[in-house]
Amino acid sequence: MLYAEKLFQRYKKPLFKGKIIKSNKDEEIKIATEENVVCGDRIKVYVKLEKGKVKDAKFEGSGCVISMGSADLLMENIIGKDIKNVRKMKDEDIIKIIGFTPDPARMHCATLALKALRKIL
Amino acid sequence: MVEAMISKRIKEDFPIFKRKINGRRFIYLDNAATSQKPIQVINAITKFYKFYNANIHRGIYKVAEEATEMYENSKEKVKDFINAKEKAEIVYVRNTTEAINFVALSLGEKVKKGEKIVVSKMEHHSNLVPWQILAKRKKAKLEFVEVKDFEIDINDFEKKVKGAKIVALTHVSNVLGTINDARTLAKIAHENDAYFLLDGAQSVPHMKVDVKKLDCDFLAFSGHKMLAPFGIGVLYGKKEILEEMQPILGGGDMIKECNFLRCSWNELPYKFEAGTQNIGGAIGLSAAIDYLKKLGMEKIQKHEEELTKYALKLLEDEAGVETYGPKKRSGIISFNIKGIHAHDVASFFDKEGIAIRAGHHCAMPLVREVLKQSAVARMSFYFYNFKEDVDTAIEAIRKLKREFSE
Repeated sequence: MLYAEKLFQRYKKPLFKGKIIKSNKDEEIKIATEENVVCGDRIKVYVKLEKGKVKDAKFEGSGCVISMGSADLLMENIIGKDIKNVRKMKDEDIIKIIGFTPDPARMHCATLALKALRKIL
Repeated sequence: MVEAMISKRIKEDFPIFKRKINGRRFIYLDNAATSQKPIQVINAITKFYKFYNANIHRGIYKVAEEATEMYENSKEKVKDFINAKEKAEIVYVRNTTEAINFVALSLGEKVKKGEKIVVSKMEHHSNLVPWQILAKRKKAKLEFVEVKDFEIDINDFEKKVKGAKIVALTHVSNVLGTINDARTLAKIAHENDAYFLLDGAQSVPHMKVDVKKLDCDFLAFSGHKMLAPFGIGVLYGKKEILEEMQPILGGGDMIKECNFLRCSWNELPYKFEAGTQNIGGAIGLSAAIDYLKKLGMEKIQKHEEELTKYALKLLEDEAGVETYGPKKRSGIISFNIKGIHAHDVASFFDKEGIAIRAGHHCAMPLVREVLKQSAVARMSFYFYNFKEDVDTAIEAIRKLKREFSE
């Protein structure tokens, strides 16, 4: 096994891949893109915010197992959380969420989605 | 037949191949990034630091004179290796990038507003960014020769070279493995009164490069890609052109006479070598050239050609594998496996003890805009790679495909 099973499964069958489209004008939806210049991975994250919490989260993009699997697991993790707690998330939290410590050269793959989130939260 | 030419025992010269990576034999297929170092080179450097360590060109004592002689001998060897006219044409720098920047900064002073600099769309960032900076500084135009079927489009070059002041092209593409016809390109550049710089980073370590035959005005290459240590590189320049160029670094050893207001420059190549040089590096490079010459550049080229042909055939027969580059090429093969990111390929290869490179290989515009890929995996060979290394790589691709299809 190349990576953690959970991560690899989510890469192959993501549960949070897609867009969030505004269904009424009062909804607060934020979108951010992030790019990894080293490997060319690109990600677009969508979050729906409500009463200080993340109501929904999705992502679109293409990339490696670590970047895409991490994004999927991160989206799942933040749904229902207080925005201020998501804001506090560190790179080490990603390691806990994905259940795997990437080699130093691949750490930036794991944190790609988090970097995108930091732009909007 | 190939393997009869270079014996597999050559690996014994390279201490690093005694290592096990993840319990496996270490297979090094990232030679376009840097080469491994044979014990002969390591010993030469150690010997210098142990017994001959002194600064050069100044000391009036035996060890300093010996060190100076070793440094000068190293230049003599480089001169012969690329068939330059004189030692004065060999300037030591850190690497290819520094050599190209050097030309962009010094020769670049001759470029006037609105004049044209021409590079191709297959350049490494090292032969792109220095010209972007120059173009911006001088308000000059930077133009790009198209790449067609993984080769420099010669018709497009003939159009774009018109009115160019400087043409800077790679000899061998570090992504595609394309071997450009440097002699023809130099001839066309000269017919149009342009200076011609050749980026030899991927050619000089792998084939006989003769600056007289190619008639390039400048040749830039790195020692570390040809068995020598990091931090020593070469800028070759035709003497008459170097003579008219101004130094870009001032300091010790590059001046002839100096008063508080002005100096006159030392003779070539010293006017371009300010301050204490990488003497240990130069001695390492000298030993590296000895090693390569003993083996023979033609033999190296032939060995790599056969190995590349063998690898290409296997890769092309492998379902879902796409390779990028012309049929006839140097030992560089960029590829992708359908549905698997290049970085996942590289990580998996690493688990199997195989070192390859993945990404845009410092040629982002080429990978993105010409190949239309976000990243590619790359295997690159040297004379110490054999068919069994390729076989292990192919086996790794098969295993990886199985893992991703489950």
